[in-house]
Amino acid sequence: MNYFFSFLVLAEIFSIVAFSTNLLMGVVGIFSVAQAAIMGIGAYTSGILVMMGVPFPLAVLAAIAVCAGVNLISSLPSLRLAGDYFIITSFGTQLVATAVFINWSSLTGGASGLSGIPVATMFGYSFVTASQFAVLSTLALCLVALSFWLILRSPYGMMLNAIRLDEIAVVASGRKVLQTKIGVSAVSGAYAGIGGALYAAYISFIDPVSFDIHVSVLVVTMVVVGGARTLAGSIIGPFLLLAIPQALTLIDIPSTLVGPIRQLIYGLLLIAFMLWRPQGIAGKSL
Amino acid sequence: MTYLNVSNVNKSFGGIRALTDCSFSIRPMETTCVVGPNGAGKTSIFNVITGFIPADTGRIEFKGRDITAESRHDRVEAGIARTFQNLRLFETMTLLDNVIVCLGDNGANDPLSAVFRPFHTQAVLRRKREAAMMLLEQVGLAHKAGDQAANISYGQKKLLCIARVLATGAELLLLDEPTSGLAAAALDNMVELIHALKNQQKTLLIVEHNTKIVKRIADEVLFFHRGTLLAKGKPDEIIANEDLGKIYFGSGA
Ligand SMILES: Nc1ncnc2c1ncn2[C@@H]1O[C@H](COP(=O)(O)OP(=O)(O)OP(=O)(O)O)[C@@H](O)[C@H]1O
Ligand SMILES: [Mg+2]
Repeated sequence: MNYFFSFLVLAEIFSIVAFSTNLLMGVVGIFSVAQAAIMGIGAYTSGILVMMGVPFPLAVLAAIAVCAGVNLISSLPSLRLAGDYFIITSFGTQLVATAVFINWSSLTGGASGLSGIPVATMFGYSFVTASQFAVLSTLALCLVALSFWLILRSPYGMMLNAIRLDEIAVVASGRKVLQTKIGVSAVSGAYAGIGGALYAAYISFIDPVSFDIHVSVLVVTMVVVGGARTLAGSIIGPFLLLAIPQALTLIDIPSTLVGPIRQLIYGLLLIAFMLWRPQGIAGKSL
Repeated sequence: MTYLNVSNVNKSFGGIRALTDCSFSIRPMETTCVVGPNGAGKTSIFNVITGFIPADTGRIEFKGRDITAESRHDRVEAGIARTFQNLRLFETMTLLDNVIVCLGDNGANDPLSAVFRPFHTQAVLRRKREAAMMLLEQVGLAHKAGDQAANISYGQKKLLCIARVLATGAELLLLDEPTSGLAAAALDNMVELIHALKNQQKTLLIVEHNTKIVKRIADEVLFFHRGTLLAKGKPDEIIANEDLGKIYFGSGA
Protein backbone atom coordinates (compact mmCIF):
# COMPACT_ATOMS: atom_id res chain seq x y z
CA MET A 1 0.00 0.00 0.00
CA ASN A 2 2.82 2.37 0.88
CA TYR A 3 4.34 1.45 -2.43
CA PHE A 4 1.22 2.71 -4.21
CA PHE A 5 1.12 5.94 -2.22
CA SER A 6 4.74 6.78 -2.87
CA PHE A 7 4.09 6.34 -6.58
CA LEU A 8 0.99 8.51 -6.29
CA VAL A 9 2.82 11.31 -4.50
CA LEU A 10 5.68 11.37 -6.99
CA ALA A 11 3.33 11.25 -9.98
CA GLU A 12 1.28 14.10 -8.52
CA ILE A 13 4.36 16.21 -7.90
CA PHE A 14 5.47 15.67 -11.49
CA SER A 15 1.96 16.45 -12.70
CA ILE A 16 2.30 19.85 -11.06
CA VAL A 17 5.60 20.39 -12.87
CA ALA A 18 3.98 19.13 -16.09
CA PHE A 19 1.31 21.82 -15.71
CA SER A 20 4.12 24.35 -15.47
CA THR A 21 5.67 23.09 -18.71
CA ASN A 22 2.31 22.68 -20.42
CA LEU A 23 1.34 26.27 -19.76
CA LEU A 24 4.59 27.63 -21.14
CA MET A 25 5.27 25.17 -23.95
CA GLY A 26 1.87 23.76 -24.84
CA VAL A 27 -0.25 26.88 -24.51
CA VAL A 28 2.02 29.83 -25.28
CA GLY A 29 4.57 27.97 -27.37
CA ILE A 30 7.63 28.97 -25.33
CA PHE A 31 9.70 25.79 -25.59
CA SER A 32 11.71 25.36 -22.45
CA VAL A 33 13.92 22.48 -21.37
CA ALA A 34 14.69 24.09 -18.03
CA GLN A 35 11.59 23.33 -16.00
CA ALA A 36 13.42 20.78 -13.80
CA ALA A 37 15.91 23.51 -12.95
CA ILE A 38 13.08 25.78 -11.85
CA MET A 39 11.60 22.90 -9.86
CA GLY A 40 15.04 22.40 -8.30
CA ILE A 41 15.25 26.04 -7.33
CA GLY A 42 11.89 25.61 -5.58
CA ALA A 43 13.11 22.46 -3.86
CA TYR A 44 16.33 24.06 -2.62
CA THR A 45 14.58 27.28 -1.57
CA SER A 46 11.94 25.48 0.42
CA GLY A 47 14.28 22.76 1.74
CA ILE A 48 16.89 25.22 2.96
CA LEU A 49 14.30 27.48 4.58
CA VAL A 50 12.61 24.60 6.39
CA MET A 51 16.01 23.41 7.62
CA MET A 52 16.58 26.92 8.95
CA GLY A 53 13.37 26.60 10.93
CA VAL A 54 10.98 28.50 8.67
CA PRO A 55 7.46 26.98 8.81
CA PHE A 56 6.68 24.79 5.80
CA PRO A 57 3.79 26.91 4.41
CA LEU A 58 5.99 30.00 4.40
CA ALA A 59 8.82 28.05 2.78
CA VAL A 60 6.42 26.96 0.01
CA LEU A 61 5.33 30.56 -0.53
CA ALA A 62 8.98 31.60 -0.73
CA ALA A 63 9.64 28.82 -3.27
CA ILE A 64 6.68 30.04 -5.32
CA ALA A 65 7.91 33.63 -5.28
CA VAL A 66 11.53 32.75 -6.10
CA CYS A 67 10.55 30.37 -8.92
CA ALA A 68 8.07 32.83 -10.39
CA GLY A 69 10.85 35.40 -10.46
CA VAL A 70 13.54 33.10 -11.82
CA ASN A 71 11.29 31.63 -14.50
CA LEU A 72 10.28 35.11 -15.52
CA ILE A 73 13.90 36.19 -15.86
CA SER A 74 14.92 33.01 -17.68
CA SER A 75 12.00 33.46 -20.07
CA LEU A 76 12.98 37.01 -20.95
CA PRO A 77 14.99 35.95 -24.03
CA SER A 78 11.83 34.33 -25.41
CA LEU A 79 10.25 37.76 -25.53
CA ARG A 80 12.73 38.59 -28.28
CA LEU A 81 13.76 35.22 -29.66
CA ALA A 82 11.58 33.04 -31.83
CA GLY A 83 10.65 29.61 -30.47
CA ASP A 84 13.46 27.49 -31.85
CA TYR A 85 16.15 29.82 -30.58
CA PHE A 86 14.67 29.94 -27.15
CA ILE A 87 15.18 26.20 -26.67
CA ILE A 88 18.91 26.84 -26.84
CA THR A 89 18.79 29.61 -24.23
CA SER A 90 16.68 27.41 -21.96
CA PHE A 91 19.43 24.78 -22.21
CA GLY A 92 21.69 27.49 -20.87
CA THR A 93 19.35 28.18 -17.96
CA GLN A 94 19.31 24.49 -17.11
CA LEU A 95 23.11 24.22 -17.22
CA VAL A 96 23.60 27.35 -15.13
CA ALA A 97 21.13 26.13 -12.50
CA THR A 98 22.80 22.73 -12.24
CA ALA A 99 26.20 24.41 -11.95
CA VAL A 100 24.90 26.61 -9.14
CA PHE A 101 23.37 23.61 -7.31
CA ILE A 102 26.74 21.85 -7.50
CA ASN A 103 29.05 24.74 -6.74
CA TRP A 104 27.24 26.88 -4.19
CA SER A 105 27.98 24.11 -1.73
CA SER A 106 27.80 26.20 1.46
CA LEU A 107 24.10 26.58 0.74
CA THR A 108 23.19 23.55 -1.37
CA GLY A 109 25.48 20.88 -0.02
CA GLY A 110 27.20 20.66 -3.43
CA ALA A 111 27.13 17.45 -5.42
CA SER A 112 26.20 15.36 -2.41
CA GLY A 113 23.08 17.41 -1.89
CA LEU A 114 21.00 18.19 1.15
CA SER A 115 19.69 15.42 3.34
CA GLY A 116 17.50 15.41 6.39
CA ILE A 117 15.02 18.00 5.15
CA PRO A 118 12.31 18.03 7.85
CA VAL A 119 8.89 16.57 7.08
CA ALA A 120 6.14 18.90 6.00
CA THR A 121 4.11 20.28 8.88
CA MET A 122 1.04 22.40 8.35
CA PHE A 123 -1.71 23.57 10.68
CA GLY A 124 -0.47 21.19 13.37
CA TYR A 125 -0.45 18.12 11.12
CA SER A 126 2.73 16.35 10.07
CA PHE A 127 2.76 14.66 6.70
CA VAL A 128 5.21 11.88 7.44
CA THR A 129 4.18 8.73 5.60
CA ALA A 130 3.45 8.47 1.91
CA SER A 131 -0.27 8.12 2.52
CA GLN A 132 -0.32 11.20 4.72
CA PHE A 133 1.72 13.16 2.20
CA ALA A 134 -0.64 12.05 -0.56
CA VAL A 135 -3.32 14.23 1.05
CA LEU A 136 -1.06 17.24 0.67
CA SER A 137 0.12 16.48 -2.86
CA THR A 138 -3.41 15.68 -4.03
CA LEU A 139 -4.65 18.96 -2.63
CA ALA A 140 -1.80 20.87 -4.29
CA LEU A 141 -2.38 19.12 -7.63
CA CYS A 142 -6.10 19.92 -7.48
CA LEU A 143 -5.39 23.60 -6.85
CA VAL A 144 -2.84 23.78 -9.65
CA ALA A 145 -5.13 21.92 -12.06
CA LEU A 146 -8.06 24.16 -11.13
CA SER A 147 -6.05 27.31 -11.74
CA PHE A 148 -4.78 25.91 -15.07
CA TRP A 149 -8.36 25.18 -16.10
CA LEU A 150 -9.57 28.62 -15.02
CA ILE A 151 -6.75 30.31 -16.91
CA LEU A 152 -7.44 28.38 -20.11
CA ARG A 153 -11.13 29.26 -20.17
CA SER A 154 -10.57 32.96 -19.43
CA PRO A 155 -9.99 35.77 -21.93
CA TYR A 156 -6.39 35.67 -20.77
CA GLY A 157 -6.13 32.01 -21.76
CA MET A 158 -7.54 32.81 -25.20
CA MET A 159 -4.87 35.43 -25.61
CA LEU A 160 -2.17 32.92 -24.59
CA ASN A 161 -3.40 30.51 -27.26
CA ALA A 162 -3.54 33.32 -29.79
CA ILE A 163 0.07 34.27 -29.03
CA ARG A 164 1.14 30.73 -29.87
CA LEU A 165 -0.83 30.80 -33.12
CA ASP A 166 0.24 34.24 -34.35
CA GLU A 167 2.04 36.60 -32.05
CA ILE A 168 2.19 39.42 -34.61
CA ALA A 169 -1.59 39.38 -34.98
CA VAL A 170 -1.99 39.65 -31.22
CA VAL A 171 0.39 42.61 -31.14
CA ALA A 172 -1.56 44.24 -33.98
CA SER A 173 -4.75 43.97 -31.96
CA GLY A 174 -3.20 46.21 -29.33
CA ARG A 175 -2.48 43.60 -26.68
CA LYS A 176 0.58 43.96 -24.50
CA VAL A 177 2.19 40.69 -25.48
CA LEU A 178 5.35 41.31 -23.49
CA GLN A 179 3.41 41.83 -20.28
CA THR A 180 1.32 38.74 -21.04
CA LYS A 181 4.35 36.54 -21.55
CA ILE A 182 5.92 37.86 -18.36
CA GLY A 183 2.75 37.03 -16.45
CA VAL A 184 2.48 33.51 -17.81
CA SER A 185 6.16 32.82 -17.11
CA ALA A 186 5.59 33.82 -13.50
CA VAL A 187 2.58 31.51 -13.18
CA SER A 188 4.48 28.65 -14.78
CA GLY A 189 7.40 29.27 -12.42
CA ALA A 190 5.04 29.30 -9.44
CA TYR A 191 3.72 25.85 -10.41
CA ALA A 192 7.26 24.47 -10.69
CA GLY A 193 8.06 26.03 -7.31
CA ILE A 194 5.15 24.21 -5.68
CA GLY A 195 6.29 20.95 -7.26
CA GLY A 196 9.86 21.49 -6.08
CA ALA A 197 8.87 22.39 -2.52
CA LEU A 198 6.69 19.29 -2.23
CA TYR A 199 9.45 17.13 -3.69
CA ALA A 200 12.00 18.33 -1.15
CA ALA A 201 9.60 17.82 1.76
CA TYR A 202 8.54 14.38 0.59
CA ILE A 203 11.87 12.82 -0.42
CA SER A 204 13.70 14.76 2.36
CA PHE A 205 16.84 14.56 0.22
CA ILE A 206 17.71 16.69 -2.81
CA ASP A 207 20.80 16.84 -4.98
CA PRO A 208 21.72 18.41 -8.34
CA VAL A 209 21.03 15.17 -10.25
CA SER A 210 17.40 15.24 -9.11
CA PHE A 211 16.87 18.36 -11.23
CA ASP A 212 19.26 17.96 -14.16
CA ILE A 213 18.64 18.12 -17.89
CA HIS A 214 17.35 14.53 -17.98
CA VAL A 215 14.55 15.48 -15.65
CA SER A 216 13.69 18.52 -17.77
CA VAL A 217 13.52 16.34 -20.87
CA LEU A 218 11.43 13.84 -18.93
CA VAL A 219 8.92 16.57 -18.08
CA VAL A 220 8.75 17.64 -21.74
CA THR A 221 8.18 13.97 -22.66
CA MET A 222 5.40 13.78 -20.09
CA VAL A 223 3.62 16.73 -21.72
CA VAL A 224 4.11 15.38 -25.23
CA VAL A 225 2.87 11.91 -24.30
CA GLY A 226 0.02 13.19 -22.15
CA GLY A 227 -1.09 15.87 -24.57
CA ALA A 228 -0.34 19.55 -24.85
CA ARG A 229 -2.76 22.17 -23.55
CA THR A 230 -5.04 19.68 -21.86
CA LEU A 231 -5.67 19.25 -18.20
CA ALA A 232 -5.91 15.46 -18.50
CA GLY A 233 -2.67 15.30 -20.50
CA SER A 234 -0.69 17.02 -17.78
CA ILE A 235 -1.76 14.25 -15.40
CA ILE A 236 -1.80 11.22 -17.70
CA GLY A 237 1.75 11.86 -18.92
CA PRO A 238 3.49 11.86 -15.53
CA PHE A 239 1.46 8.92 -14.21
CA LEU A 240 2.20 6.85 -17.28
CA LEU A 241 5.88 7.67 -17.54
CA LEU A 242 6.58 7.21 -13.85
CA ALA A 243 4.80 3.86 -13.95
CA ILE A 244 7.41 2.60 -16.41
CA PRO A 245 10.30 2.28 -13.91
CA GLN A 246 7.84 0.73 -11.46
CA ALA A 247 6.86 -1.83 -14.07
CA LEU A 248 10.50 -2.52 -14.85
CA THR A 249 11.14 -3.52 -11.26
CA LEU A 250 8.51 -6.23 -11.67
CA ILE A 251 10.38 -7.75 -14.60
CA ASP A 252 13.43 -9.80 -13.75
CA ILE A 253 16.23 -7.69 -15.25
CA PRO A 254 19.58 -6.81 -13.68
CA SER A 255 19.26 -3.69 -11.55
CA THR A 256 22.14 -2.03 -13.41
CA LEU A 257 20.06 -2.16 -16.58
CA VAL A 258 16.92 -0.59 -15.14
CA GLY A 259 18.23 2.97 -15.48
CA PRO A 260 19.43 2.73 -19.09
CA ILE A 261 16.32 0.81 -20.18
CA ARG A 262 14.11 3.43 -18.60
CA GLN A 263 15.94 6.23 -20.43
CA LEU A 264 15.69 4.24 -23.65
CA ILE A 265 11.95 3.83 -23.28
CA TYR A 266 11.49 7.52 -22.49
CA GLY A 267 13.52 8.51 -25.54
CA LEU A 268 11.64 6.16 -27.84
CA LEU A 269 8.30 7.34 -26.48
CA LEU A 270 9.22 10.98 -27.13
CA ILE A 271 10.22 10.23 -30.71
CA ALA A 272 7.25 7.95 -31.37
CA PHE A 273 4.70 10.45 -30.09
CA MET A 274 6.24 13.38 -31.95
CA LEU A 275 6.15 11.32 -35.15
CA TRP A 276 2.82 9.56 -34.93
CA ARG A 277 0.73 11.25 -32.31
CA PRO A 278 1.93 14.81 -31.68
CA GLN A 279 -1.35 15.57 -29.95
CA GLY A 280 -0.46 13.08 -27.21
CA ILE A 281 -2.92 10.77 -25.51
CA ALA A 282 -5.38 13.45 -24.42
CA GLY A 283 -5.66 15.13 -27.73
CA LYS A 284 -4.16 18.46 -28.79
CA SER A 285 -1.10 18.82 -30.94
CA LEU A 286 1.86 20.99 -29.91
CA MET B 1 -4.23 70.21 -36.91
CA THR B 2 -4.12 67.37 -39.41
CA TYR B 3 -5.54 63.98 -38.58
CA LEU B 4 -2.75 61.67 -39.65
CA ASN B 5 0.42 63.33 -40.80
CA VAL B 6 3.35 61.43 -42.26
CA SER B 7 6.40 63.56 -42.89
CA ASN B 8 9.70 62.78 -44.61
CA VAL B 9 9.66 59.06 -43.91
CA ASN B 10 12.58 57.05 -45.23
CA LYS B 11 13.06 53.33 -44.87
CA SER B 12 15.70 51.05 -46.38
CA PHE B 13 16.19 47.33 -46.01
CA GLY B 14 19.86 46.88 -46.69
CA GLY B 15 20.25 48.25 -50.20
CA ILE B 16 16.52 48.31 -50.97
CA ARG B 17 14.83 51.65 -50.50
CA ALA B 18 11.32 50.70 -49.47
CA LEU B 19 10.25 54.29 -48.75
CA THR B 20 11.89 57.49 -49.94
CA ASP B 21 10.99 60.80 -48.34
CA CYS B 22 7.27 60.12 -48.04
CA SER B 23 5.10 62.94 -46.80
CA PHE B 24 1.34 63.09 -46.84
CA SER B 25 -1.60 63.59 -44.60
CA ILE B 26 -5.09 62.20 -44.56
CA ARG B 27 -8.33 63.72 -43.44
CA PRO B 28 -10.64 62.25 -40.84
CA MET B 29 -13.65 60.19 -41.89
CA GLU B 30 -12.41 59.96 -45.46
CA THR B 31 -11.35 56.86 -47.35
CA THR B 32 -7.87 57.14 -48.76
CA CYS B 33 -6.68 54.48 -51.16
CA VAL B 34 -3.03 53.58 -51.50
CA VAL B 35 -2.24 52.35 -55.01
CA GLY B 36 0.89 51.37 -56.86
CA PRO B 37 2.61 48.41 -58.46
CA ASN B 38 4.08 45.48 -56.53
CA GLY B 39 6.92 46.45 -54.26
CA ALA B 40 5.93 50.13 -54.35
CA GLY B 41 6.09 50.45 -50.58
CA LYS B 42 2.38 50.28 -49.76
CA THR B 43 2.68 47.68 -47.02
CA SER B 44 5.85 49.37 -45.80
CA ILE B 45 4.06 52.66 -45.17
CA PHE B 46 1.42 50.70 -43.21
CA ASN B 47 4.20 49.08 -41.19
CA VAL B 48 5.75 52.44 -40.39
CA ILE B 49 2.44 54.04 -39.38
CA THR B 50 1.53 51.12 -37.10
CA GLY B 51 5.04 50.69 -35.68
CA PHE B 52 5.76 47.26 -37.13
CA ILE B 53 8.91 48.63 -38.71
CA PRO B 54 10.71 51.69 -37.42
CA ALA B 55 11.31 54.41 -39.98
CA ASP B 56 14.95 55.34 -40.54
CA THR B 57 13.98 58.99 -40.49
CA GLY B 58 10.74 60.94 -40.50
CA ARG B 59 7.82 61.57 -38.27
CA ILE B 60 4.29 60.24 -37.77
CA GLU B 61 1.70 62.40 -36.06
CA PHE B 62 -1.80 61.32 -35.18
CA LYS B 63 -4.27 63.97 -34.05
CA GLY B 64 -1.43 66.29 -33.16
CA ARG B 65 0.49 63.73 -31.16
CA ASP B 66 3.91 62.51 -32.24
CA ILE B 67 3.67 58.73 -32.28
CA THR B 68 6.89 58.03 -34.21
CA ALA B 69 8.52 56.33 -31.25
CA GLU B 70 5.45 54.85 -29.61
CA SER B 71 4.90 51.14 -29.06
CA ARG B 72 2.55 49.19 -31.29
CA HIS B 73 -0.04 48.74 -28.57
CA ASP B 74 0.03 52.43 -27.68
CA ARG B 75 -0.76 53.25 -31.30
CA VAL B 76 -3.73 50.91 -31.24
CA GLU B 77 -4.86 52.54 -28.04
CA ALA B 78 -4.46 55.93 -29.70
CA GLY B 79 -6.87 54.69 -32.37
CA ILE B 80 -4.87 53.20 -35.25
CA ALA B 81 -5.30 49.53 -36.17
CA ARG B 82 -4.42 47.46 -39.21
CA THR B 83 -5.07 44.25 -41.08
CA PHE B 84 -2.47 42.14 -42.86
CA GLN B 85 -2.08 41.30 -46.52
CA ASN B 86 -1.58 37.67 -45.44
CA LEU B 87 -4.53 37.78 -42.99
CA ARG B 88 -2.80 36.31 -39.91
CA LEU B 89 -5.92 34.71 -38.47
CA PHE B 90 -5.79 32.40 -35.46
CA GLU B 91 -6.63 29.48 -37.72
CA THR B 92 -7.49 26.85 -35.10
CA MET B 93 -9.62 29.19 -33.01
CA THR B 94 -13.28 29.89 -33.62
CA LEU B 95 -14.37 33.05 -35.38
CA LEU B 96 -15.84 34.31 -32.15
CA ASP B 97 -12.59 33.75 -30.24
CA ASN B 98 -10.60 35.39 -33.05
CA VAL B 99 -12.62 38.54 -32.47
CA ILE B 100 -12.63 38.30 -28.66
CA VAL B 101 -8.82 38.26 -28.54
CA CYS B 102 -8.74 41.51 -30.52
CA LEU B 103 -11.33 43.41 -28.48
CA GLY B 104 -10.16 46.73 -27.12
CA ASP B 105 -11.90 45.79 -23.87
CA ASN B 106 -8.95 44.63 -21.77
CA GLY B 107 -11.07 43.31 -18.88
CA ALA B 108 -9.93 40.16 -17.07
CA ASN B 109 -6.92 39.84 -19.34
CA ASP B 110 -4.56 38.72 -16.60
CA PRO B 111 -3.85 35.48 -14.75
CA LEU B 112 -4.77 36.79 -11.32
CA SER B 113 -8.33 37.67 -12.36
CA ALA B 114 -8.65 34.32 -14.13
CA VAL B 115 -7.66 32.37 -11.00
CA PHE B 116 -8.87 34.48 -8.11
CA ARG B 117 -11.97 36.10 -9.59
CA PRO B 118 -13.39 33.29 -11.73
CA PHE B 119 -17.00 34.47 -11.63
CA HIS B 120 -16.08 38.02 -12.49
CA THR B 121 -13.90 36.65 -15.29
CA GLN B 122 -16.74 34.59 -16.73
CA ALA B 123 -19.02 37.63 -16.57
CA VAL B 124 -16.42 39.64 -18.48
CA LEU B 125 -16.14 36.82 -20.98
CA ARG B 126 -19.90 36.86 -21.55
CA ARG B 127 -19.74 40.60 -22.13
CA LYS B 128 -16.90 40.08 -24.62
CA ARG B 129 -18.78 37.32 -26.40
CA GLU B 130 -21.72 39.64 -26.93
CA ALA B 131 -19.50 42.43 -28.23
CA ALA B 132 -17.68 40.03 -30.55
CA MET B 133 -20.94 38.57 -31.77
CA MET B 134 -22.21 42.01 -32.73
CA LEU B 135 -19.09 42.59 -34.80
CA LEU B 136 -19.48 39.22 -36.53
CA GLU B 137 -23.07 40.18 -37.29
CA GLN B 138 -21.92 43.44 -38.75
CA VAL B 139 -19.58 41.72 -41.21
CA GLY B 140 -22.13 39.01 -41.93
CA LEU B 141 -20.39 36.10 -40.21
CA ALA B 142 -22.63 35.59 -37.18
CA HIS B 143 -23.84 32.24 -38.53
CA LYS B 144 -20.24 30.99 -38.57
CA ALA B 145 -19.31 32.26 -35.09
CA GLY B 146 -18.56 28.80 -33.73
CA ASP B 147 -16.62 27.55 -36.77
CA GLN B 148 -12.85 27.26 -36.85
CA ALA B 149 -11.25 30.09 -38.81
CA ALA B 150 -9.40 27.51 -40.88
CA ASN B 151 -12.68 26.10 -42.17
CA ILE B 152 -14.29 29.18 -43.71
CA SER B 153 -13.90 30.46 -47.28
CA TYR B 154 -11.23 32.96 -48.28
CA GLY B 155 -13.82 35.68 -48.67
CA GLN B 156 -15.14 34.99 -45.20
CA LYS B 157 -11.60 35.09 -43.82
CA LYS B 158 -11.20 38.57 -45.25
CA LEU B 159 -14.43 39.62 -43.52
CA LEU B 160 -13.16 38.14 -40.27
CA CYS B 161 -10.08 40.36 -40.59
CA ILE B 162 -12.39 43.36 -40.73
CA ALA B 163 -14.29 42.17 -37.65
CA ARG B 164 -11.00 41.78 -35.79
CA VAL B 165 -9.70 45.21 -36.69
CA LEU B 166 -13.06 46.72 -35.72
CA ALA B 167 -12.83 44.90 -32.40
CA THR B 168 -9.86 47.04 -31.39
CA GLY B 169 -12.19 50.02 -31.34
CA ALA B 170 -9.73 52.03 -33.43
CA GLU B 171 -11.04 54.95 -35.49
CA LEU B 172 -8.35 54.88 -38.18
CA LEU B 173 -8.29 51.52 -39.94
CA LEU B 174 -5.47 50.49 -42.25
CA LEU B 175 -6.69 47.69 -44.51
CA ASP B 176 -4.02 45.95 -46.58
CA GLU B 177 -5.68 44.67 -49.77
CA PRO B 178 -9.09 43.78 -48.31
CA THR B 179 -10.51 42.92 -51.74
CA SER B 180 -7.63 41.02 -53.36
CA GLY B 181 -8.46 37.49 -54.38
CA LEU B 182 -12.20 37.96 -53.97
CA ALA B 183 -14.78 36.78 -56.52
CA ALA B 184 -17.36 39.26 -57.82
CA ALA B 185 -20.06 38.69 -55.19
CA ALA B 186 -17.64 38.75 -52.27
CA LEU B 187 -16.04 41.84 -53.77
CA ASP B 188 -19.32 43.75 -53.85
CA ASN B 189 -20.00 42.62 -50.32
CA MET B 190 -16.64 43.98 -49.16
CA VAL B 191 -17.19 47.30 -50.94
CA GLU B 192 -20.53 47.62 -49.21
CA LEU B 193 -18.91 46.88 -45.87
CA ILE B 194 -16.25 49.53 -46.53
CA HIS B 195 -19.00 52.05 -47.26
CA ALA B 196 -20.73 51.04 -44.05
CA LEU B 197 -17.53 51.59 -42.09
CA LYS B 198 -17.20 55.05 -43.56
CA ASN B 199 -20.76 55.81 -42.52
CA GLN B 200 -19.75 54.75 -39.02
CA GLN B 201 -17.26 57.63 -38.97
CA LYS B 202 -14.25 55.40 -39.48
CA THR B 203 -11.26 56.84 -41.29
CA LEU B 204 -9.90 54.34 -43.77
CA LEU B 205 -6.52 53.92 -45.41
CA ILE B 206 -6.82 51.07 -47.88
CA VAL B 207 -4.31 49.38 -50.17
CA GLU B 208 -6.30 48.62 -53.29
CA HIS B 209 -5.10 47.38 -56.69
CA ASN B 210 -8.34 47.41 -58.62
CA THR B 211 -8.96 50.86 -60.14
CA LYS B 212 -12.71 50.18 -60.47
CA ILE B 213 -12.89 49.55 -56.73
CA VAL B 214 -10.76 52.62 -56.05
CA LYS B 215 -13.31 54.74 -57.93
CA ARG B 216 -16.10 53.28 -55.85
CA ILE B 217 -14.55 53.74 -52.41
CA ALA B 218 -11.86 56.42 -52.46
CA ASP B 219 -12.17 60.08 -51.53
CA GLU B 220 -8.45 60.50 -52.04
CA VAL B 221 -5.73 58.43 -53.70
CA LEU B 222 -2.04 58.10 -52.90
CA PHE B 223 0.03 56.72 -55.76
CA PHE B 224 3.25 55.01 -54.73
CA HIS B 225 6.03 53.89 -57.03
CA ARG B 226 9.38 52.46 -55.97
CA GLY B 227 8.99 53.79 -52.48
CA THR B 228 8.08 57.32 -53.50
CA LEU B 229 4.72 59.02 -53.26
CA LEU B 230 4.39 60.00 -56.94
CA ALA B 231 0.97 61.60 -56.82
CA LYS B 232 -1.89 62.45 -54.54
CA GLY B 233 -5.33 63.49 -55.66
CA LYS B 234 -8.94 62.67 -56.38
CA PRO B 235 -9.52 59.17 -57.76
CA ASP B 236 -10.63 60.43 -61.20
CA GLU B 237 -7.53 62.58 -61.64
CA ILE B 238 -5.15 59.84 -60.62
CA ILE B 239 -6.79 57.15 -62.67
CA ALA B 240 -7.09 59.37 -65.73
CA ASN B 241 -3.41 60.36 -65.55
CA GLU B 242 -1.69 58.60 -68.44
CA ASP B 243 1.82 58.69 -66.98
CA LEU B 244 0.64 56.97 -63.83
CA GLY B 245 -1.32 54.46 -65.89
CA LYS B 246 1.85 53.53 -67.75
CA ILE B 247 3.69 52.92 -64.51
CA TYR B 248 0.82 50.97 -63.11
CA PHE B 249 0.01 48.78 -66.06
CA GLY B 250 3.45 48.74 -67.64
CA SER B 251 4.41 50.83 -70.65
CA GLY B 252 2.83 48.31 -73.02
CA ALA B 253 -0.66 49.08 -71.69
N1 LIG C 1 10.92 43.27 -43.90
C1 LIG C 1 11.50 43.50 -45.09
N2 LIG C 1 12.78 43.12 -45.29
C2 LIG C 1 13.38 43.35 -46.47
N3 LIG C 1 12.79 43.96 -47.51
C3 LIG C 1 11.51 44.36 -47.37
C4 LIG C 1 10.80 44.15 -46.15
N4 LIG C 1 9.55 44.64 -46.29
C5 LIG C 1 9.50 45.14 -47.54
N5 LIG C 1 10.67 44.98 -48.19
C6 LIG C 1 10.97 45.44 -49.56
O1 LIG C 1 10.54 46.77 -49.65
C7 LIG C 1 9.92 47.01 -50.91
C8 LIG C 1 8.49 47.49 -50.68
O2 LIG C 1 7.73 46.41 -50.16
P1 LIG C 1 6.20 46.52 -49.74
O3 LIG C 1 5.84 45.25 -49.10
O4 LIG C 1 5.99 47.75 -48.97
O5 LIG C 1 5.49 46.62 -51.17
P2 LIG C 1 3.96 46.65 -51.53
O6 LIG C 1 3.73 47.93 -52.23
O7 LIG C 1 3.13 46.35 -50.34
O8 LIG C 1 3.87 45.46 -52.59
P3 LIG C 1 2.73 44.38 -52.85
O9 LIG C 1 1.75 44.98 -53.78
O10 LIG C 1 3.48 43.25 -53.49
O11 LIG C 1 2.14 44.00 -51.53
C9 LIG C 1 9.98 45.71 -51.68
O12 LIG C 1 11.10 45.75 -52.52
C10 LIG C 1 10.18 44.69 -50.61
O13 LIG C 1 10.88 43.58 -51.10
MG1 LIG D 1 1.87 44.87 -49.78
